[in-house]
Amino acid sequence: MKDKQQRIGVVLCTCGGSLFTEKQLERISKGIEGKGASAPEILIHSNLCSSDQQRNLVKRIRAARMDKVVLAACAPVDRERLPEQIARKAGLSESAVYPVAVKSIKGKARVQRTTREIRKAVSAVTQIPRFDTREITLNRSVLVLGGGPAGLYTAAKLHSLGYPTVVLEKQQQITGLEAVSAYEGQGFKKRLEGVRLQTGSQLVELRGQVGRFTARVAVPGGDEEQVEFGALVVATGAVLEPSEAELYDQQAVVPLAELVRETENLPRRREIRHIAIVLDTRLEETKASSELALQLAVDLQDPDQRQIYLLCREVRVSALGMQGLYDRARQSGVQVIKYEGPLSLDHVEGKLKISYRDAIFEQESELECDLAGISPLGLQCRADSSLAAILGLSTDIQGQLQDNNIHFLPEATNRPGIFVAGACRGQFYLPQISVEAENVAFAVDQLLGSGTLRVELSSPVVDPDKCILCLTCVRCCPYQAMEVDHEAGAAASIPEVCQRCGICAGECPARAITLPAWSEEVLLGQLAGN
Amino acid sequence: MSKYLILGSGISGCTAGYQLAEMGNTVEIIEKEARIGGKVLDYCCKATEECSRCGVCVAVSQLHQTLHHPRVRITTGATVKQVKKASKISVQLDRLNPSIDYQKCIQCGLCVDACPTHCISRLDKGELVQYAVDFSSCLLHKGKSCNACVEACPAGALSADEATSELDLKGEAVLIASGHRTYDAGRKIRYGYGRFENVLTGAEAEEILSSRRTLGDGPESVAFIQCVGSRDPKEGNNYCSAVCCSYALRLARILKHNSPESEITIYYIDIQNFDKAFSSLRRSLSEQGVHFVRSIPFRVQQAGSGKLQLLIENMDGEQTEVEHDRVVLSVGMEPADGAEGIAAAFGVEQDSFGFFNSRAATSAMSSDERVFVCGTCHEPMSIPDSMAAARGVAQEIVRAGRLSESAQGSGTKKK
Repeated sequence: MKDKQQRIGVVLCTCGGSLFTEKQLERISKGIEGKGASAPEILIHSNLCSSDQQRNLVKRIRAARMDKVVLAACAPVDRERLPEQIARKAGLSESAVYPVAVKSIKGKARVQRTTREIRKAVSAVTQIPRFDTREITLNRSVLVLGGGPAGLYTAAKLHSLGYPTVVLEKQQQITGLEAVSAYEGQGFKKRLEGVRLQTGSQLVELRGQVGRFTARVAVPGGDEEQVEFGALVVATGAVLEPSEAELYDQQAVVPLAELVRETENLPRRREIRHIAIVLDTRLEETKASSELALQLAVDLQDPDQRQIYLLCREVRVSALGMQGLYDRARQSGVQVIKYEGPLSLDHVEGKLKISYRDAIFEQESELECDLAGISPLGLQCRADSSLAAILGLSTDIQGQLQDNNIHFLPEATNRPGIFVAGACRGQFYLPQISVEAENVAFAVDQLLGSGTLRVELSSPVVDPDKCILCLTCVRCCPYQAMEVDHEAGAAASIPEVCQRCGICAGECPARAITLPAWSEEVLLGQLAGN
Repeated sequence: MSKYLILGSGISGCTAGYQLAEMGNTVEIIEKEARIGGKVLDYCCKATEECSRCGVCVAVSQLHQTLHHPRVRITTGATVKQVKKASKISVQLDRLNPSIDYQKCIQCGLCVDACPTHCISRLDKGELVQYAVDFSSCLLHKGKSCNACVEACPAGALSADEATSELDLKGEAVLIASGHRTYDAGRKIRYGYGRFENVLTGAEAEEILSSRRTLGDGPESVAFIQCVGSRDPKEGNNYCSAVCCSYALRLARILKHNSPESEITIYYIDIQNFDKAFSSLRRSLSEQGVHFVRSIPFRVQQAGSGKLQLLIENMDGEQTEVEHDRVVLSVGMEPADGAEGIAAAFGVEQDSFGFFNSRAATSAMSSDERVFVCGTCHEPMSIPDSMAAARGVAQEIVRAGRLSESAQGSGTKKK
């Protein structure tokens, strides 16, 4: 939509007087006037690099009721994404502020060059359509997948911020309550009052976009429910590969958690005199495992009755207090063995034989014990990959959710509106899970807090006459921002998710896709102003 | 909306401050040094052909955003004189002048040129530009009067009416984010830091690698010694500093990448797991030929060849000597200078190492409901973890504020 009545402004930053002299400003102004259909209004501004002056410029743009702005200033102004910021704060569409970098050439050449660049910019920016905006009402409910510590922490914090929260737990019990209450105290349960905790339930399909998700949930009894929510938090924990579970022999080799639970019964089982706790079997674990293992070792060690061996590749103590715990374990008689290479467990004459290479003494060794607790986190432990596929979430090289991208840390994913916390993203340490849950809650609050999302309808436009529904754009969009509009018989972009990267337009074999802010008219407009 | 005070303009203080400001609150950040940003400014990007997720760039971006947020004011050169707790928390401080208002500053540098003693210098890191004053050279602090910088500034961003200004800042709550001190490697006399030219700390290695590709000229044999000043009961630092394994491995990766013929050896006790990609980093370093040796040398001395000689004792008491061109000491973190003073002034408990305590394992609140702690003043942590923790603290602070508001509203007295 091109509105001939649009008000175009040209802002010339003089940089405090050093970029242009008065006379040069006059000459540039004359050069811009009278060219093109709309006569631009010229604003002289200064010191755009200061935050104060940036705010002033926004005020002036608003006061002058400009629709489009050409911003002529020195190069750093563009580098700091200032044009987009000013556009946003002035209530204009992001492409409505068109930067022109003033080259640092001297005298007359600078004036001529700048005048020409500004004319081109005015001509181009005139062709950029004025975009409509759509206000999407956001659903303030949040769905949390997983009733482990991460899910419960997040649910409690979201609830305290006033968001209706539902926790879906696949198993029959809410598994995280015990662990979190042990850390936070029994009062933690109260913080979950008002949160709907639904057990035996699993998400099977997700549709929609940020602020307006719908999901099909399998519930007990074989039925399915439909749930609607604005944001999704994935806190589904780590899942043991089926083949690894075979390592566990009911009698002598147990998961570490079971050993922890058995701590009270063990004194009665006097035949168990040697217990091995094994970490890092196939994967390097984290300090969360070390803390659990060291504490367990200290609890079980009894010089008269029981010798505990702790086998690990590295002793992980990177939290205050853990070095002290390690010292206490050794002082109480726990034997900490650092091993390298493969480790094997065999049943020999009613006992367990563990064979390993001792990393300190650098020799092959073995030890005999009656019972071994193996940490499942040392085995192939990934996030639920089928769930990742259902949700369209990328995983990292270890099979955990969330790309290892510094800009995502700690809670973001590749899909807006979907957040991640806890073991499914590789965080096993409880105090840090709590911190990450706060980050999730904050991110959800930022997203859903206002209740509406204002979206500019400037995402790619698909020509239905040219589109052959080959689905190339749907497949190659990195943000999953293209979908099929069955009524129109063509692909369509989802403006609230689209990042305007242009890959779809580039890849479309039928050349059916255009980015409206960078259409042919706009580019030709640049040339026309030359 | 409320006003909050933050002690320390490092990455933790700035992240929390930004978050609080974004939520609509006003934030006053108090910084004792002449520059904002804390230790992050001295760390380098640790990418090779791939980002290593050290967080330095993200941290610098955050510092920049905080500095320019309209609801944040950062006061540098500030010393806390007195803290009073009444209906609000009041902090009286002395601020050394000249001081710079970064909302007005246009980074023109005219103040640098105008200063007669050249005491103002421009500090650049990524998009963060700031001007730091060396108060010891400033004429104002020598009893003279001088207005050169103030007059030179076209944006009116400098003020220097007197040598020191007294400020009284009041807030609903205060966040202590005063950071840490890097362990002084000179305390390990046997490592020869300060005596041998080619013995440097990890922090110094980072500074060099901020602007150079290698530590020396040409391929060298570099040894990293881990746990210097950490996991060390004799030094009183019986804790792990959490970040040294991560920075040593990342620095080793850069050195090996930029100079493949260099020999890199890491002497360690245990390698700590620091992020999701840790295992693959460790594996790829071993594949590239970085040596991991599970012993800590007990002495560094000069060999006849002029190289550095590391003495190692094995489990049987046998000694070996290994020669290297350069030794990097992976120094850890300690509580900051002046931590006791801050603890006393704000009523914060310190643990046995001197780090500030928070009330519960998963809370940033100290024993006083209106005083919070976060960052490395609380415990050693990495940049990404500091930023996540700071955002968490901002949430807690606002939540505590809401609770106390509703308590007051219903007539209940706050404990």
